[in-house]
Amino acid sequence: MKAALADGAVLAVEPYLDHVPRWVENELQCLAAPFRGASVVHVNATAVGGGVAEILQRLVPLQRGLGLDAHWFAIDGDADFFRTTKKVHNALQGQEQTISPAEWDHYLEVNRANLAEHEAVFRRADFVIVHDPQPAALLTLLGQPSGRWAWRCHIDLSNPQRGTWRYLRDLVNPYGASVFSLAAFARRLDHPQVVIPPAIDPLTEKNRPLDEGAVKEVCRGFGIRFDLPLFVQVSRFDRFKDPLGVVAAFRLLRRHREATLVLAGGGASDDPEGQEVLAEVRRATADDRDVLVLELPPDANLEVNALQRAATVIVQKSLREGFGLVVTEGLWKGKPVIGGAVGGITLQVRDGFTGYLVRTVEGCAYRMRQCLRHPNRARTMGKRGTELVRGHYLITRQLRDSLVLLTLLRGGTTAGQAARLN
Amino acid sequence: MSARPFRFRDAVRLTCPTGVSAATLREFRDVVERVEPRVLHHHLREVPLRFTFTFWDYPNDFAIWAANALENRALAERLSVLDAFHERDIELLRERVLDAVELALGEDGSTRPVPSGQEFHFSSSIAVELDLGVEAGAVPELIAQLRVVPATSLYYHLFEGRLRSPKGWDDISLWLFESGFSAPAHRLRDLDIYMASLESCRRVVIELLERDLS
Repeated sequence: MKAALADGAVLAVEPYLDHVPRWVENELQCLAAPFRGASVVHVNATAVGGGVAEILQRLVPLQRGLGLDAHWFAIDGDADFFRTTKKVHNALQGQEQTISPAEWDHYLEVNRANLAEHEAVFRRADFVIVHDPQPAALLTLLGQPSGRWAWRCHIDLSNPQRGTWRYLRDLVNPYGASVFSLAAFARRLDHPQVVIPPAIDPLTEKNRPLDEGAVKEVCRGFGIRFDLPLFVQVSRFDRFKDPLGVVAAFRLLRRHREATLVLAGGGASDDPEGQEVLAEVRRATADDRDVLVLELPPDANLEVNALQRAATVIVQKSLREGFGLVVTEGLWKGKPVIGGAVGGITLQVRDGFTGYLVRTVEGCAYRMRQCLRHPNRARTMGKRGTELVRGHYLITRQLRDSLVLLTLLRGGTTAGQAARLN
Repeated sequence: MSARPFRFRDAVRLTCPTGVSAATLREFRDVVERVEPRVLHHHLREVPLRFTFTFWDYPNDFAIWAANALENRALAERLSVLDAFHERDIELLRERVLDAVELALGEDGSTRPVPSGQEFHFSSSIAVELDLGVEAGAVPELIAQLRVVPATSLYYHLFEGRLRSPKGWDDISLWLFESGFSAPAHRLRDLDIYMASLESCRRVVIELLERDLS
């Protein structure tokens, strides 16, 4: 296990006040006051790639900026471990998987090895937030800690494979609370559960404003034509993101309109399936000049920003989705989003208001065509999307919610009751 | 004039799912019968806190689910007429919800499950109350702050205030009354805030104060 963030990484709230009301700062200071100096340790599976790492790269420095002694560790694991945890991930999202006793044993062994490296840190921490299934066994293996622990689940648990969930549930039940992105993902557990949707940071390279010249330069580099409408799906090459479904929808659209489709994504170090899916997508689109498949490194934030800003419409046709931060990114950039009617996408894509929710390839193709046929309506949707994100899905809101979670863990409030500060 | 200034407060909330859901009207009834009062409070009273691009078709989560997932408009209408801020007794509200559900079950007896993904997920909420650090000593200051405080603070003072006060006064009306502005205090207290969005409440309250007191 390694520290995923330099000790000096600290962020202040003040620069965010260009994007959110000024009262946000007072609210955050009030909520943080009882926790100044408290140690908060986040643990997840990867320091780079994927939404969780992106969030922690900003959330932890912001927590430090409010006076919390916040740290972030990413666990180490071998290829077998991450193959197993990918199977666990898929099974929890409803896919048929078999995880053998030997694979579970190895899962526990890797968790044990990670714990051994930093056991003192976990024993002393006031609060530990464990993200997703990969490090979920840490608490059971540690036994009785002195601090309060929460399990933060970022994936769609609405319809898990029962056997896999039963195993994980036994590891999760000893935690003080669980956190989900949507109420629909909650399960019956022995502790309080709360909903905290994730969020994006408007100040990062991926989301900051870009001028037209910078956008065009990036697009030119990828060989994207400027005279055609552009559909962009940015996501890991993962079957749940249905990249082949997007290609099929795009081909239905192209019977009527010329356009370009960009499928852009990178891998995360905890996702061994990515290369396989990428190869499938490349095979399926090899002869199609209007479909660009871009494999981007995890730090290609400027490129993602430019592609999203260049897009006429953002697509995220997921079949399962924990939250879908790429949807948030697209909405923030004022783009209408066509998204699969699953998981957190349904929170963000308000059907007919910020984009369209689709359930089929045909539905996706129809809405693509509709967005091109009614560009003014599409633009209005984009504007609404920006305001939706400003009000609900920026990192300052997630920071605030993380402080309410600490209040809950400390026992300062229980469901149906209000804690009173000041 | 009131000796004390009006201090703006807010409650920061998180939704707390129970992990219990209902896919049919019968399942829904069975859960409503036994669920804790705080769950009913959340679904019947905290809807104004949720963001919507449109006007509210239905004013509570139960009615919204009846209309959109069960596609039972008659049930949605009967559930909509419950005014969860006027009726303060949560157990009485539970009985009224159950009456409407039983009636619907009697009318079509349907046990048809809703489409996958549209189950009703029972939740409550937790709140951390905090002082926003702003106060108003006089009406012009009150109006100025009402323009900028978070909408959730309006919910805290106008909606939940009515539930906190033994006589059903919201916090702002009470402050106006104690400050000697009896007529506008009564007008504000008698405002029908049920079904109003928080932003429309903000507009209406400011207009009322400007008209009466500026």
